[in-house]
Amino acid sequence: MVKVGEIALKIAGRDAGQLCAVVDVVDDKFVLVDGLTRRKKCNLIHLEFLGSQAKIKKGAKTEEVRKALKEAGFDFKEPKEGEARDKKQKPVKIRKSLQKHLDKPEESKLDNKKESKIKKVVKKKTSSKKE
Amino acid sequence: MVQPRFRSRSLRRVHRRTPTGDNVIHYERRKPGKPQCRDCGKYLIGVARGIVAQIKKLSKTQKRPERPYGGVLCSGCMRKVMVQKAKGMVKQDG
Ligand SMILES: [Zn+2]
Repeated sequence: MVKVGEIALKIAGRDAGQLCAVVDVVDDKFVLVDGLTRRKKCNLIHLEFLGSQAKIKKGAKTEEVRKALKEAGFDFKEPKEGEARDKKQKPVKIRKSLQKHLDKPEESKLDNKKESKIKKVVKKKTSSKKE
Repeated sequence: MVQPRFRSRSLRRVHRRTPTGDNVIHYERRKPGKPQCRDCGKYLIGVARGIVAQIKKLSKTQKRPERPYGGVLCSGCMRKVMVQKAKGMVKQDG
């Protein structure tokens, strides 16, 4: 019979090859596992037990299970979860001709009407990118 | 007369009936062979098949199963690999 805290390797499915520990026993066929895998109900056929124990209580949280796995002598990297990727802000691209106009308004050959239009476009581009 | 480039058999011929009722021949690229397990040679399921250009448009998850060795080993052979990995991880004195 399987006990809470037994360490196993998942051998089937998307989490195959990941360490986990039994958190709860559902019945004689299924257990609830957690650790480096997702917290899932799992068939015993899909687990290969490693014969070592993690010191956890029934229904332990993911962090507690991972800590117990490390204490039991299994080395692993903490998987990254829920970290939003940092989107690098790209520099705003403006046409060369417009950029010249913005840098040196005295030398540009554009009309005043066009100037106001250009300023609007630049405003739009810069404001949307920053948000 | 058929265009000279279509006389070669490198493109496969598909018979189609047009809405007007004519029978025409379309020339399409051939499909690559069925993917097989690297270990046992079984035909793999869940791996996208078709013309290469079409498959390239699919997302990664639509192309092969979402498990280690997905699209390379069959599920049974993958399990054997994982059991071997587990045997290597067993602590002797614990
Ligand atoms: Zn196989």
